[in-house]
Amino acid sequence: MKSRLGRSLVTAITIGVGLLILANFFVRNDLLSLVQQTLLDWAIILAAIALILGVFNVIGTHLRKIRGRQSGWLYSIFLLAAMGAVIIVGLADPRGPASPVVSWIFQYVQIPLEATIFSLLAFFVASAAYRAFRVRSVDSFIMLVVGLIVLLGQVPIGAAIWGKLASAKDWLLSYPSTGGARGIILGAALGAVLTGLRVLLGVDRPHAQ
Amino acid sequence: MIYCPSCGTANKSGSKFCNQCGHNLTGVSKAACPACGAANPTENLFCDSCGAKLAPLVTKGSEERAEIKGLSLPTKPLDEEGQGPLDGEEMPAAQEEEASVPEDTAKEDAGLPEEGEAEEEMPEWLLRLRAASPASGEQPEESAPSETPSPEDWGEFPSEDLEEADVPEWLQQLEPAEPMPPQEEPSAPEVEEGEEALLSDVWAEEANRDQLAAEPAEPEAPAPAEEEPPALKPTEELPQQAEEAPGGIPALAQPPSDEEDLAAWLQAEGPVILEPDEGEEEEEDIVFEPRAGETEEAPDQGRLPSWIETLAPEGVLPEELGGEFVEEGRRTPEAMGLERAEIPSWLEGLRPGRPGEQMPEAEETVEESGVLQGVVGALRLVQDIDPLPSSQMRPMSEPVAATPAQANLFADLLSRPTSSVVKPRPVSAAPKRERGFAWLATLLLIAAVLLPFFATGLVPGGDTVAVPQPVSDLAERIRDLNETDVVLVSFDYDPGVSTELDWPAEVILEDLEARSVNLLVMGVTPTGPGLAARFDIPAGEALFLGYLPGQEMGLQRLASNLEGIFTVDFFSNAVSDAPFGVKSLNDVALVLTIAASQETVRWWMEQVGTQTGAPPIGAIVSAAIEPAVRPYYASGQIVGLVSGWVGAQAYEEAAGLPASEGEGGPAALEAQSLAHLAIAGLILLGNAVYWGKRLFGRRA
Amino acid sequence: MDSVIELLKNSGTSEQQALVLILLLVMLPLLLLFTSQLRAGRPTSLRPMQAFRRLEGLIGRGAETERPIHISLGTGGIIDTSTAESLAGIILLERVAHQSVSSGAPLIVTVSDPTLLPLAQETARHAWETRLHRYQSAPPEVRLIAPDPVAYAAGVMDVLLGENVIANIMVGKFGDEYLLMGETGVRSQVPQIAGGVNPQVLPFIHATADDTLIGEEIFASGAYINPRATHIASLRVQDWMRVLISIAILLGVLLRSLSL
Repeated sequence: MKSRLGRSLVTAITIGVGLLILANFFVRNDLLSLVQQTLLDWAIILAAIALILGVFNVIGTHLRKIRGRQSGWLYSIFLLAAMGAVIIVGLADPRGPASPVVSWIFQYVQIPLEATIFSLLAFFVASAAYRAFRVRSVDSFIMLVVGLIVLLGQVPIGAAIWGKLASAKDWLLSYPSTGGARGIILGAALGAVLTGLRVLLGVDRPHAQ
Repeated sequence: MIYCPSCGTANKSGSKFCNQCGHNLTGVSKAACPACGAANPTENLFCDSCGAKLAPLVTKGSEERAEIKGLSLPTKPLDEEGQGPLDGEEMPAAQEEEASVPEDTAKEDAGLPEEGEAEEEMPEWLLRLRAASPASGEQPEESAPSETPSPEDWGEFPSEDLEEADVPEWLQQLEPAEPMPPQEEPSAPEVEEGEEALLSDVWAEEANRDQLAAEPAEPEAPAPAEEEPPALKPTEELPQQAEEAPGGIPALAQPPSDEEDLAAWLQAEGPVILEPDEGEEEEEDIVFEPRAGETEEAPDQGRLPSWIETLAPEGVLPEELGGEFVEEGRRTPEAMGLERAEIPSWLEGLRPGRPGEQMPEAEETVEESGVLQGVVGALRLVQDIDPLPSSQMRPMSEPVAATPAQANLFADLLSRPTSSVVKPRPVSAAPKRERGFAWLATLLLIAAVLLPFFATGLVPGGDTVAVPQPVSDLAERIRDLNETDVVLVSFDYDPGVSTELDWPAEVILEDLEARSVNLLVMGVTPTGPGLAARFDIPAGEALFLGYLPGQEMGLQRLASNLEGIFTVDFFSNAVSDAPFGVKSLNDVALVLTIAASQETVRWWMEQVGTQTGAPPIGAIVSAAIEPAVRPYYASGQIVGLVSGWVGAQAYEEAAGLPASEGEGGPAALEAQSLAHLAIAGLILLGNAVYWGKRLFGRRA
Repeated sequence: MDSVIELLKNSGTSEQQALVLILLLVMLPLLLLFTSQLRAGRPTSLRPMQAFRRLEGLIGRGAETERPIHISLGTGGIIDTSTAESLAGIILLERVAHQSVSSGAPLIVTVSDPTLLPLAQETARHAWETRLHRYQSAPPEVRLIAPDPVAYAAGVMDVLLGENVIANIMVGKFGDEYLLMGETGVRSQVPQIAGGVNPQVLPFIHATADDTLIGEEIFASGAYINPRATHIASLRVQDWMRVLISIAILLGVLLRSLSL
């Protein structure tokens, strides 16, 4: 919306809806609860519509890649073909994702593929640890010691190396690690709250025209 | 206020045309910052983004401005009536339509019209000028035939016949605001009617000045001391009034409307005798002296201004000027000891001619293109600038005999063709050492993972594992369930972590099946129900509810209205046909969430755990998020916690279940142990290599 | 403390509601106060952050080499609790997109959640439309890779390896799959700026990124790269609240320890 009236209307809707949801949190009212429920249902529907838009975006991106013969355009053909096949099969069977074909694809194609990619994490962790745990200062030395304790304390072999390794691991994870994580989470939560407040007050619309 | 994008003049809000230059303001809605390019409202003086000053403003689409040909006058295409933008505030219908055109399409007529439509849109005075030129083949209507160029041959630019509305505003501003003081009729022939108003203004001003100069000057307050005279200083012969004047040739300006408005130096103006600074040649002294015998007669309209006369080179006046321009009793510059300044040849063409004067033949140049096409006598293009003779061009530097190699290299570099296309830099291959390490790490990890499956018992202590308290608490809670209890199991992990969580999930489901409890199976991730469907769960004891959309919002709805959310199950069977029914979460004895993300666990805590009468919650999580979920167990918000493969084996021991084979089992734990050990070894190896290089490399 | 909770329960207000109410009553006036002070011209200073400083240089390199800059907005969307992190990435994208359009540096934006896709597209298109001097014929490209985090990581790895990017910027919600992308960036030898809130991922970010934005620092992007009074005021409010909460925690620990 480029007109001022349009921008004001959007801001007014944003503020109004936000205040409604917030009011329902403090005041238990059937009408407010109904309004909130309706709005949340609309949000879920919008998310589903966004998924459909995303499908079109994927198709457009990969068609462009194929048309321009960019690197990996053959994989784009395969991607579009696979996506189309699964969508068609899923829509054709009234059972949808529970249909035998889709279940078979999910169990024997998607799960192994995702598990394989995720298993790369093991090698990447090794590579990152090799780089990150170099002792350059007192802080990095402490980090190295803690890392080794947690790494070996997680598995049975740690108990074989040192009987109290598991306890040390538990203590490190329960107190210093949790304390530090909570501090970060606290700060992030404050930032998130203020972001929400700015949106609620209508002063932060980075994407608006 | 709206600032004109062309000249920067401030105009009232709502103005359609600029008061200064006539630029169309109707399409101006945004102004671009010259520094950062951000769009700003036209009312802004400074940029909202970077704070830079926004003058002069440039509107959107300025790059699409039409090419301006000929003069850069702020012209605008005339409407059908031939009126320009300054013809009143009412906008004709044609222009109104033009103004209503969207910005993107209204830019075409931003500039001067093209040649093809020039005649239709040019100002009338310009049309007359073109018509008056001999090249156009037309004769001016009111021009008197004369052999020598006379002022009227210059065309009516503008003439008295022009209406005031036709005269551009900048030209109108040069007219005196008030009528000049009465002047005597000049004795010399008067200028033709067609003479330019511009020069008439100048001459009128000069006449006024001369008239004032002839008047006895009133002693005025001396000029401020800080006003420094120009480069030429006054001489000893400076008359009193000249001494009081700051000196200098007065600049051409609007003639004052009232004598009182005249600056003191102008009222007391008299020729200032100046002499050059030291170091300059003192041969040519330009002396300005009061003209003896000057009367209060009005100057001849056709004569040159006195300041030009005095600059004229010796011998030029009065002969070249025909004599008519010299006033009676006026001393010639030669008589005053002046040398005539030579008029540049390019200025010669502009020198106004006098009736009967034999003007030098000026080279007639005719404009061939642009707005002035066909006009004769415009500023002549100076052709006599000789090109720089090649002999005077800077010679190429010759290579010194002592450095032929450098010279040859330089010449070679210059002769190489350049490429403007930046070739993509290929990702350089990692050094050999790093590639070697990558191979070592890969092989080591693969060996660590595969070895236990071929040779068991490699890892001491791998058969048994200590049962943590959270695991035993969960095992105890499940042990206390009876056959009529309903347990809600939510598969909230992705296929990527299925290898880690499938084993704990299978163990828990096995224990639940052994208790013959009723299961509600669902997931808050789209892949959850699909993952759950792989487990062999008896159909009569489980109800696959399927995917619950909305993440935490969906859980909030689940907590308030479980019965209303799922009407059909994952296999599209009606929920009402299920062997057992659940109306709300309060009817559920235990909620188990199998998650790989602490966020998912938090959703359950916040949306379900805080409800009054909510069931207890247990968590089966990956080892990575176990530290983040442990505080929930410590605070009592979850009743039990099973983490990863170690937790699965511990639960088997706590629940008295047989050890798993195949996917899980001791071999898997041994593989995990060896992998952790390998990674720890690689970390230590990396430090050894790093410190070895630093220590031994330093010594070397 | 128990008596306070009892009082709240009797009044029909839950502990959670009371906490939220107290936070709002404190933070909202502070935000308005600091915003008005900043708009009135009160000077303020922000500590330097290397990540934001480096950003401009990376865009310049992209313009000079015509190699694209990759921006990842994470796996979060705008209908859940990760909205704030996603918006932080959008604010960064807004600035980078403006600079990219006016300097000619190509830009590739990848998202995982479909709800973030229209927002990212609108941000990129708005940056392209409002810039007068554009060096590109179309707005920066925004791609939806996949809703699944692992699939998204695989897609981003393909972008980093196959599209010859000059820089990699990752700000938003990430999980374990971040390491796949971050390590690929390291192996591709491209400079990386990464930021996240999830403590589980922060070690990976620290190990792979050249410049990091830890936790709440990602919410400071609005104040650093495109200073607005409300954003700077938000930072001040965060500082104040952090101090107040720290004092409250210490007081609570003290009272509990003294059995009060």
